[in-house]
Amino acid sequence: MSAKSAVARALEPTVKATLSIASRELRNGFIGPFGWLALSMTQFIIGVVFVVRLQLFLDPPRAAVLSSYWGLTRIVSAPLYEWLGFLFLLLAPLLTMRALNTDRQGNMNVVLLLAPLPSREIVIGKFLAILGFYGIQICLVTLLPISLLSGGRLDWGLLGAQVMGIVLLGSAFAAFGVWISTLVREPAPAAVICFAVLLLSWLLSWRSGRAADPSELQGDAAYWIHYLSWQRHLEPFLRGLVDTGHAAFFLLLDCACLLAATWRLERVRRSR
Amino acid sequence: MPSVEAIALELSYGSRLAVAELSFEVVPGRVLGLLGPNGAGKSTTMNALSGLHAPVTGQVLLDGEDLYPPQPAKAARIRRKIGYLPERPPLDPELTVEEYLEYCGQLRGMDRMARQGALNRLCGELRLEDERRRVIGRLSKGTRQRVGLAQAVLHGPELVVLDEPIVGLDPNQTDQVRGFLQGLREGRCIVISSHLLHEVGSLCDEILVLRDGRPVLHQNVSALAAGQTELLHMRWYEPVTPDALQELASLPGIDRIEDVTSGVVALRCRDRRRAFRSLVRACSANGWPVEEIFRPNPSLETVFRRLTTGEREERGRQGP
Repeated sequence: MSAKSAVARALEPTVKATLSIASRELRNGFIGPFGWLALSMTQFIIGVVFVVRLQLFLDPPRAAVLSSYWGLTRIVSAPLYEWLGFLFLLLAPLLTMRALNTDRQGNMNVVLLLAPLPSREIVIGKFLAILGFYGIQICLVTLLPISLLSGGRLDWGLLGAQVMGIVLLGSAFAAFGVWISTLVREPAPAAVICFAVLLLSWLLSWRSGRAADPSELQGDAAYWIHYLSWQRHLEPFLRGLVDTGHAAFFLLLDCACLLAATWRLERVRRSR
Repeated sequence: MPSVEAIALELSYGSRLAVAELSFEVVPGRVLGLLGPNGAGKSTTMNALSGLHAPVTGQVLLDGEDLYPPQPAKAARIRRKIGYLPERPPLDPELTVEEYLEYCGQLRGMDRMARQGALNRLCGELRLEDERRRVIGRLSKGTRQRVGLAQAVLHGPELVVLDEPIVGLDPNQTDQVRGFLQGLREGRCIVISSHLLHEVGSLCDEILVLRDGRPVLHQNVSALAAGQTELLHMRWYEPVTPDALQELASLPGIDRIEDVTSGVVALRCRDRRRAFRSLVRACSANGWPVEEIFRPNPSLETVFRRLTTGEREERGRQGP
């Protein structure tokens, strides 16, 4: 018991420092117009999708068919999170380019690099800040399907799976962006590289189709493109299927990117 | 007592060697001034002392421990002992002074009580009380510089590395900061880099001059001054004749003629008082057109210019 509390005491300052990095980052995101603009644009686009899907559900001839198969939650909320995933793709470069590069420009990185913290904690702090921003967006978007409770019933299990899927996707984008941010000195090239890679992954997976099983595709390259496609791994969650394989894909991607970012930051700390 | 020691440092940027053959030690309570022209390797050395630039060869030891250990946990522990103010203070323009210093304290693992205590003390000592709740982006350059200084010493580091700490301050602020730094030196090793040579002269105990990445002088400031006390200068109204120079060299107490520049004869003395008396007698006896005889001021600027450009011009002066 005492050994356990000693470990907890030793970890406490590090955890606090990590959380203070995350809270500063998150707060700075809302000091300028960027954070508010990103939130309002996302809400506007998702709101339009919500209204369109709701009209589709309320259209009497279609509603009879659709509701018997899928139900309100699947028809209305699944596209919201699919669109939100695409908006995360657009936002990830803009959010993550600020992660380390903005500090570098303001020389604040000296405070971070000289902090008696392992590089891992700095990277996790930055990652949590971006995840926090995505979290706010996810909460606001989730309010839309919840508002349907006034006139219908929701499948809470399905909604929970959809939220879990979008959180996993957001975390993967955030981790990838943080890694790119450690590789490139200037914010603009970091954003361009991050955006190009994520968009390319989306375009390639869209081109390769949405085959349920990658082995149906012709050629190794197509197989791997499809296998690595984030849409393929998100799609089961949107259908309400919590597949540990797909969850593991996102979590492994998080770990790989965060480890690579930590390794890179450790090198930067030693040879600035 | 903790001391900082650089042993045969070699620092590079890729394949370009920035600093070589650099060794020195700073003991607690002493202040080392790092001087050199732009591009001499001062900032690179400061970064190396701060734990931000690992040497290619050689070591930086703080309290006997390598500043660049292979274990990240050990490196993190050693970083806690260092405070660094770079040439451009690391500030977040969006935060208030208080929020920023709180943030720095949290990053350095200080608990709430320690943070508050250090913040109150530093705001008082650096006259930041009125600016505590102001956003850093709206502060004057001098105030931002003092906030940067506060973050460097907030956690009570054993080694304080300050790159141009006085730059951008008005005379009153300079005086405050000078007093603050004098109080800071007790029990700490301080390394200062500055282009304001008179400030280095007044703050530092020893100076290290770098030129092209190599040390060209490492000496106590007091010894530097002592090295110039055996000089006397004579300013002439008219050009000095060869006969007069010959006679000057043979006067009692004079060792040799060091230099003759722009009507000023620099004389190296064996005994300065005796030399002065014999010079006065010789001037009177020969009717030499001498305007004044004076002891040159041992300014750092003179030494700096001589070491970094080769100039030998003496500027300031004082009576014998």
